[in-house]
Amino acid sequence: MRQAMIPYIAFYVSIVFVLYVYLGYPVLLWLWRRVACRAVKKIKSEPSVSIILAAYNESACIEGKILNLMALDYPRHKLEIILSLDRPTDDTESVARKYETDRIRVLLSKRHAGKAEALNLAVAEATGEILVFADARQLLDRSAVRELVANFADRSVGVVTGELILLDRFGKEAGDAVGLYWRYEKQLRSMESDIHSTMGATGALYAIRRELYQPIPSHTILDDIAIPMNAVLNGRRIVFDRAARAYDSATTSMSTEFSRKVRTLTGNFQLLNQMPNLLIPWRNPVFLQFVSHKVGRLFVPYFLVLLFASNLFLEGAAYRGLLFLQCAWYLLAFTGAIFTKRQASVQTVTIR
Amino acid sequence: MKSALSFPYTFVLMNWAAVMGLYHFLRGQHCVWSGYRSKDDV
Repeated sequence: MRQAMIPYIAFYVSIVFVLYVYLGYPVLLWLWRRVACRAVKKIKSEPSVSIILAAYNESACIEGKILNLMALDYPRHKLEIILSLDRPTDDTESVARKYETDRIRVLLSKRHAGKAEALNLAVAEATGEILVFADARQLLDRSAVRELVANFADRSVGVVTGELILLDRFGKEAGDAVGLYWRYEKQLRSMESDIHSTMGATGALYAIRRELYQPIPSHTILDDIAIPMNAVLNGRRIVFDRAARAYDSATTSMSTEFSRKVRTLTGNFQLLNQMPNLLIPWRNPVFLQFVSHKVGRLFVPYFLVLLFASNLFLEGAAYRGLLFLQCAWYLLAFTGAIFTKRQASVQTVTIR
Repeated sequence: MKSALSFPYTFVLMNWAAVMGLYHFLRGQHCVWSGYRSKDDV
């Protein structure tokens, strides 16, 4: 009798887990926000700002990025740009040196030691009250920095993350599967921000109070989560401001998106290893959100396998129907894989 | 038709990425990344 219950238990635990991660958690956030929304009161201010850009081999985009930063709507005398170069092997350094002034500083690492080291080096040299981090590729709105710093009028705010907008080849916000996923993700961030904090920031654009920055270990993969989450562990908030915008082109290749995701998820495991306090409820003020958003997704694939396997042992029309739906889902995924690969090979042939 | 196929495919692929992420982490291969996103990355 007890053995006969095992597939049922496995099935219901799996289905509840998967549904909670993708649907239950967003609904919980929606309800939570309705009863406990903590809106940030932005006040226009102009503290000194250091924009930090860590770069390796970025010769293709570094010039455009420097020009983009120079065009920002912020008082020149209060803005410092630090280009922290991680021993690039292409022309990145020579391009950056062309723009070097007392307000645009170029730092060169002694050795190629990774982005985390380049960020630590730059922060040690920065003089601004607010540090703004950006990546080399994405372009910022002229008002992006001004919008970010306005949030620091609220003393509870330690980090502000901007919005990264993915554009398709027509210049509109991407609406493909990756674009839809990104919009879902941003909606979660927005709700988390209204309650307390988002679970990290977007590397394309975020700002932190100078005193909250803690050097991160070498080879940290997700610096844009590790740096902000340190601020949360110190009792401050990470807020998401949709008025501060950065733009990027949506990934066209599924294999590129897959590589990016593997990197991100490896980084999540690394983060749990580096910052175990995130998993201690009384140390992490956003423990529930962190576990639901970041940790839950790491375990979804195993619960999906369990869901399918346990479903095979269950009898009854409803269970057979669910098994049929699962089979149809994976068959569609398999067809999608073949379709995508064929499309990619056709594109390659066309380009050649 | 395309999105009907690409959505389940993306879902499965992204979950497979979580398995690969654990594999890379356990193998200690997180050092292969310098922390910079590649040119095609988001």
